[in-house]
Amino acid sequence: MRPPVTPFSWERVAIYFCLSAFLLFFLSPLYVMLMTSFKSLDEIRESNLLLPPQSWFFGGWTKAWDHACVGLSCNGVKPHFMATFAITIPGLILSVLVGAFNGYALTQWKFRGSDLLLGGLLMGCFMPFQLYLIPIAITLRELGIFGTSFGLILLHTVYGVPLTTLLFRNYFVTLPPELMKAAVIDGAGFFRIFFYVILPMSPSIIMVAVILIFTGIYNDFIFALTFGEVGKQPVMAALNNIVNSTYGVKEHNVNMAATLLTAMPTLFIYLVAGKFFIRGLTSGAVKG
Amino acid sequence: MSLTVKELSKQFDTIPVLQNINLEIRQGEFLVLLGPSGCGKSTLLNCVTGLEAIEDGGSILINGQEVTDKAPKDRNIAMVFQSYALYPTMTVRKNITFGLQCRKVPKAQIEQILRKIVELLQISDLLDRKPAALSGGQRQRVAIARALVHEPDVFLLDEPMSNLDAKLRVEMRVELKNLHRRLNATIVFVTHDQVEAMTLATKIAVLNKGVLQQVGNPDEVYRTPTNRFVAEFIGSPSMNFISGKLDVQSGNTCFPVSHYPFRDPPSIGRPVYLGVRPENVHATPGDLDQDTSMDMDVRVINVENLGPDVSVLCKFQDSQLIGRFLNTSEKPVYGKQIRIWMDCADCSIFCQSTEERL
Repeated sequence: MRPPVTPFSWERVAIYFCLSAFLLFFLSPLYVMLMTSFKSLDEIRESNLLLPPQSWFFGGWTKAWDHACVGLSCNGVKPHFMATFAITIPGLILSVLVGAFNGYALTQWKFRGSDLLLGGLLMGCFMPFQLYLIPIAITLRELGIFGTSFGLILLHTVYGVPLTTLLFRNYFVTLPPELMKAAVIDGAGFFRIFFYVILPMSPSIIMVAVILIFTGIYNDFIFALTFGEVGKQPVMAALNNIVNSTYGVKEHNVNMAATLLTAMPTLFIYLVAGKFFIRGLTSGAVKG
Repeated sequence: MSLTVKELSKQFDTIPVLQNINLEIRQGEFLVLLGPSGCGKSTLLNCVTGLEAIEDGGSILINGQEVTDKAPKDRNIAMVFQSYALYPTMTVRKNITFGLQCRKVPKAQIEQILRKIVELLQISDLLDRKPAALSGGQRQRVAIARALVHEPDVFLLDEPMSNLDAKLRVEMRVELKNLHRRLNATIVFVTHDQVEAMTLATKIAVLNKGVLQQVGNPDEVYRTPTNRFVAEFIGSPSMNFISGKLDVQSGNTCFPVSHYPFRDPPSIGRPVYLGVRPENVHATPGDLDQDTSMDMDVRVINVENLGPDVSVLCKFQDSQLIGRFLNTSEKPVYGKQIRIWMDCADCSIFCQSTEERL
């Protein structure tokens, strides 16, 4: 069905004008980055920031990917991508799984003090990371995993769990309690109910948790910088290294290309899963 | 296949929800737990299933076996919920067999049980659908099928019909009754609908404010309600109550209750309510027994045509009476003075202070 044609009105013009202005405002940095990344250094120096490149130059991208220098090694962002995924994916799976379990236990198997426990867990969400840096450093050192990928995985899992717990809890409280009762009478246990009854009903909230945690871990800078493995830092720390260390001239095209490369996975996730994201966020709030 | 509830009490915080409940359900009985919402009937059911822990005293026995502290799955019961509680992500087939899989029943046997149940409830063409694609009545059937596969000792049904429309409800009632007859199952059925209770039950237990008011077969509960609450709750339209005093001979109006089977010798001058069912109020003397009936002049204040009969609301002195007359061409007219005959053969007399049956 075609939507009804709305008659012309100045209000509408104003609305569209504002929206377009905001769109331009928010997209212009991306545009500048893209254009700059495809210019040669000479052209960057001479041309206008807003003009597209006169001759398309891909050297910035190849250098950023393959042989830009991070500290002493000059292999570009490529190896750091691998390192990041090696941390992000296990951390993601662990924090989503543990959060789902927590949410399930806190809503469907309520026990004395479960609300208190949730409150305590949520404290974790609201504390700034910087507060914990030194205690974490000591803890990781004592555990013997300081400066390893494993340490980062553990760290991200611990910090992801409060958020995922809250997300899953808020979704699970909206599920009808009779379902649980029916499953209990049917003879299903804690895990069977979780995997066969509860989880299949929660794809949208799982997507929300995956997106939030993925971007959280992937975009993390402070932990990556502080606790990353030397030579195998996560890509955010590597990017900082590339952009902030200068050898002679500042290679803007390389910096822009490296930044865009780094931003791509999260951008991709939001584009692909954005629909689920919105659906999942609202499905927790309103029943149905 | 029997169920016994012994001295069961239950409190939520400090509020008593169930007070010293004693119930006995024998093999093949269809017990209806009847009461207004909030009377504790669902809590009682949850105690029987084991979903609600029994902490404030009492015990539950199934087949004479103590199950008070057993997990729901070890009690050999099955339950149908008001909302049906079908697993939304599973097909009908999975919904029905899920419990069997949980109990590690061999595959071949599951298939066999499934086929039998599906045939019994005529849902074989729904097996691959999801609950969202079923109508209310079909969901109801699947929920019953899911309960039946366990071949439980006791079936528990928690207001299973309140989500159905009126026509379907009547159909399901017949079907459930048939099922009960065929399986000779022991059933506990919770409802607040007294029509459902009267039509389905072999035994009705009326519950109010956590206290068991009366247990008996439908006729007993209807004819000889044990107190005013039961009398009012069962029967539609509700029983008429006329307040007065017990006396040997009358003042202005007297009701002939000399035949009434008083539980204790009546004391003269006691303030009482006389309860008369609407169908015992007549528009003509007919062949009523002179000894148990009386006539009175009343004013008609409302007339409802119900098809086969009319329900007439009359004003008599300070109280209102409802009479159920045959729907003849001569209907009572609003505002008119008419004479009615009351048959007191089936009346109930309640004490005004305790509201208990005398």
